[in-house]
Amino acid sequence: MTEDKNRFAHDRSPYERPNFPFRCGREAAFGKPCPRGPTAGGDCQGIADCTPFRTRKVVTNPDTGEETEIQRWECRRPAHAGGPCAEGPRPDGACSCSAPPCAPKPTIRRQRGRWALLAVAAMVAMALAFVGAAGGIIGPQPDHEGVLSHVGWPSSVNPGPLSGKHEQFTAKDGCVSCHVGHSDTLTGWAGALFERATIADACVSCHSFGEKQADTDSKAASPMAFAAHNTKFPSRPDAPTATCMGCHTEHKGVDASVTPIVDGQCAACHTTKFDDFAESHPKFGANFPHESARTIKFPHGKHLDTHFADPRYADRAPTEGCVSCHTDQADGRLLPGSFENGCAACHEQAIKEQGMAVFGLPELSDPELTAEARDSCGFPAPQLESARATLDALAEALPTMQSLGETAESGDVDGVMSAVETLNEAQATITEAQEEMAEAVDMSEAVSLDSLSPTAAFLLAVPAEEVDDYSEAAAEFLIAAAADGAAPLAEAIEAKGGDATLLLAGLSPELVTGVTCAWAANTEYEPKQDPEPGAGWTAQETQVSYLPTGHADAVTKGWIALGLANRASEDEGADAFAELMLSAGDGPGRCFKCHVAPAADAEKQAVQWAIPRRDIRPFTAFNHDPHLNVLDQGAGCATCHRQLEPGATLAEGQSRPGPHANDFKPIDQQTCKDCHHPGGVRQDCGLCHRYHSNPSIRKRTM
Amino acid sequence: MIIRTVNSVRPFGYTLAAIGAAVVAGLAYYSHQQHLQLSDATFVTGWVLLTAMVSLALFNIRKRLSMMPMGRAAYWLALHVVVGLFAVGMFIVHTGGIWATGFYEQVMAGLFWATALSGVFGWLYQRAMPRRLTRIGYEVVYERIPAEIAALREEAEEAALDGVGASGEPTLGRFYSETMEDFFRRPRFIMSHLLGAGAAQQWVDIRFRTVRGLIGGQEEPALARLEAAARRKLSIDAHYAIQRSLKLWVAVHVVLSAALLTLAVWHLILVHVYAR
Repeated sequence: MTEDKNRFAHDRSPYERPNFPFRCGREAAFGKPCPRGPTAGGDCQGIADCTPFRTRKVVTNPDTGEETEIQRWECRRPAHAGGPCAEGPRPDGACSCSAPPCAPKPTIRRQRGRWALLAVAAMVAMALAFVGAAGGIIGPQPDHEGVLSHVGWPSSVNPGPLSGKHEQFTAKDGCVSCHVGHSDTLTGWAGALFERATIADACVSCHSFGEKQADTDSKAASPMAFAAHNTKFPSRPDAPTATCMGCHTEHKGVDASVTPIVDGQCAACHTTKFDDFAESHPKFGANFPHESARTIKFPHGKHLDTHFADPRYADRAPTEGCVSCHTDQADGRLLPGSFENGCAACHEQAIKEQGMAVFGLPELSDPELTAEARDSCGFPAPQLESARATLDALAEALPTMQSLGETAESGDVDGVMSAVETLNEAQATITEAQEEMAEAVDMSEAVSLDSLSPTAAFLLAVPAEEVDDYSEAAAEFLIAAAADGAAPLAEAIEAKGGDATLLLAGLSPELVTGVTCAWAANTEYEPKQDPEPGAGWTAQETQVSYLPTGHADAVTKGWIALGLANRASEDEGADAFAELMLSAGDGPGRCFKCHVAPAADAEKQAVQWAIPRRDIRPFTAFNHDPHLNVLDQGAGCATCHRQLEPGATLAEGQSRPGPHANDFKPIDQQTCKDCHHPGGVRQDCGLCHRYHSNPSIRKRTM
Repeated sequence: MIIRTVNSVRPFGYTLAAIGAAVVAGLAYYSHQQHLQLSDATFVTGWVLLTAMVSLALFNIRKRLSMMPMGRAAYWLALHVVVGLFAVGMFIVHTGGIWATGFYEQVMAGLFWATALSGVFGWLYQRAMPRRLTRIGYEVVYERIPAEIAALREEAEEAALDGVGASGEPTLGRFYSETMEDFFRRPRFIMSHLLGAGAAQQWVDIRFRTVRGLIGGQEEPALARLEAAARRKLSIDAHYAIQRSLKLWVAVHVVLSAALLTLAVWHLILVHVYAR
């Protein structure tokens, strides 16, 4: 058989194209196709070989010139099907070559189009059906509490599982917890194409970063104004605007990190750019990490080398090294433990004994002032018995005196003699009582202090040493104190800006009156029992004092605060009072043996009593835990924290920020690099630094 | 007169590929820099990817509008291939990986990779199969294959009848009706032809070698005609298998693309709605 190269000529084969939608049914079964093939709509045309064509021809009779129209049916079977048939069309114009019809089949192209439409429909159906993962057609239905659990359900709107914590808190409200668009109408969906993304607002509706305004101030701008790390640095307006989505990603899986920060993102703002901690991280500060002044002065060396070396206190020495006192915080810091757990064993008693004389009773220059003060008190206690005996004698003699006249007129001599004898006895009793009263108070020698106490001088605004200067004010105060107890003292404190309620808490008015009147009577006040350490308000001899009830005593802290508030005051006695409150001697100033008083020129005159539990380096997060796990928990601390040797000085460029810095050398950066270097432990920025200063969850969220 | 060949498309393709690679690299760098600048480039890369996918779909439109002078199909194919590879690169830049975590995004990623892999496969297949068709040594349009087979079947039947008539023996008739008739009924040995194996050839050889020993001299011409028809049928079957596989591949590729584009539009709506 020889291949006929011309077998597909137009007159020998049907016109076939791949873009025809249907093909002959016989051909589909690999039979001989009909010459005409199906229509574009898929109908069989094979029942006839052709559609005969009716021709019209006008013939003119040459003889008569008459025109006649001749109509004929002509066979139009194509040449490739054999050309016009011998039979020709039937008279009615039907083709005479007929065959049974076939069922045309779609071509591959046509089928491809159908499959594509089916695929599109399937995708649309899937998308719409699984939108219901939030409670629609297919997906979880809300339980009796209205809570949907989306876990494990496919969704056509969820691009991936949320991280574990977000998944829990969105369980009830679903997508709308963060995406307001989720509840939108179809119009809202269309509008979303042209709206600015604001999803970060949803983040800060739950997360806070130390800002207060957004929670409390309805006029506050967007909470985002307080959210970002770079808003702490207004000097960098050129820095990129940070949004939550810039660093945080979600829908990456339950266990995926939502903060996959890379070092390069830090370099977006930081002008000092580097990519390797070991090679090019900026040097630590000269005193790192001791840049900030301590709030507690604790000489580690003295305690370890001197106190705990003393056999008397050896049993109190820490047995587990540094972690005996420094406790692990949730954020990885190691902070000193409480006073009660660490210091009280040695220092509690001394605190209770550090009394503060609030006021003492001075000698007054004018005896009339003293007498005036005495007048307010009446008889002092030692004279009361004598006075009572005089009154009793007078009372006993009074009826005799009243009846003596009548007895004399009646001539009753015996009666008169008896009355005289009675009066003589009364006179003897009164004389004896007067002698006892005079002996009870020795007025020849005054029982009083040579000067005013610094506190009293400050409160009365008079010189403490010059008796002539303070006498009048002191007498006035004492007269009032004798009458009203602690009221004039409270009034004086309030006048100085103090909180009398706090500063005199627990002070009995009777105690003030008793001491004052004892002084007025030129006697010493004798308490019912000797004051014990930590007794609070007490009086002894001619002074009213306060003995702190223990560590962190509120009254003592209040008096110290008053001293600090008047530190720069020009008032008379303010310097001496402040000195008493702040100097590390006896009295309240003893607190500053361990605590740090604010500098005289400090803007804020307040004592930072407690060690800040808040991280003072908001963007640095050194986690001690993994280091302690590698190093020995006791001695391992000294790998980084090295004590200054006795008498050692800091290297050049290193200086203590104040007199209260601890006695450790700065951290040597090389110590960190020993482990954190390429090929060693990770050294990315996020290991030690944080972006947010004080992240937390808003209360209303919980 | 200069006759352009398919090879003249190569410089065009290489240039396009270089541009595409440069754009992908540039957008990857841009995306990375945006990430470092605490910003997000996924909207930009997503729109670029969608544009690329839509332009890929336009290739199908181009084939439908063959009457319009829109350049040679070979250039369009080169453009389609390069943009397809560009889309693969953009997909990785856009998603930051090759897979997704969510259900519908996994379906979409699966469709994307299925479409991309079917495209790469088809591109290589289209380059390999025409050589196979040329080696067959016979040309036939796919749509005419059924008619060709029908004609061969008629010729084979006629040869068998002629053999019976010439010898008066039923051997050739029985050989055709019992052995060869089914062979001529429709394309056979599809998989063998597709894989380029020789099973069909061997089958025909064995059958004719066997029957040749059973016939006489008068039947020989008829057997020769029958064998020629059978061998032509082998060529047509090979054409059928290869051309049909090419068409089916396009169908798979197009259907996957349609599904992918549908989900891409859905994804586009979602990312804008759920960005707030």
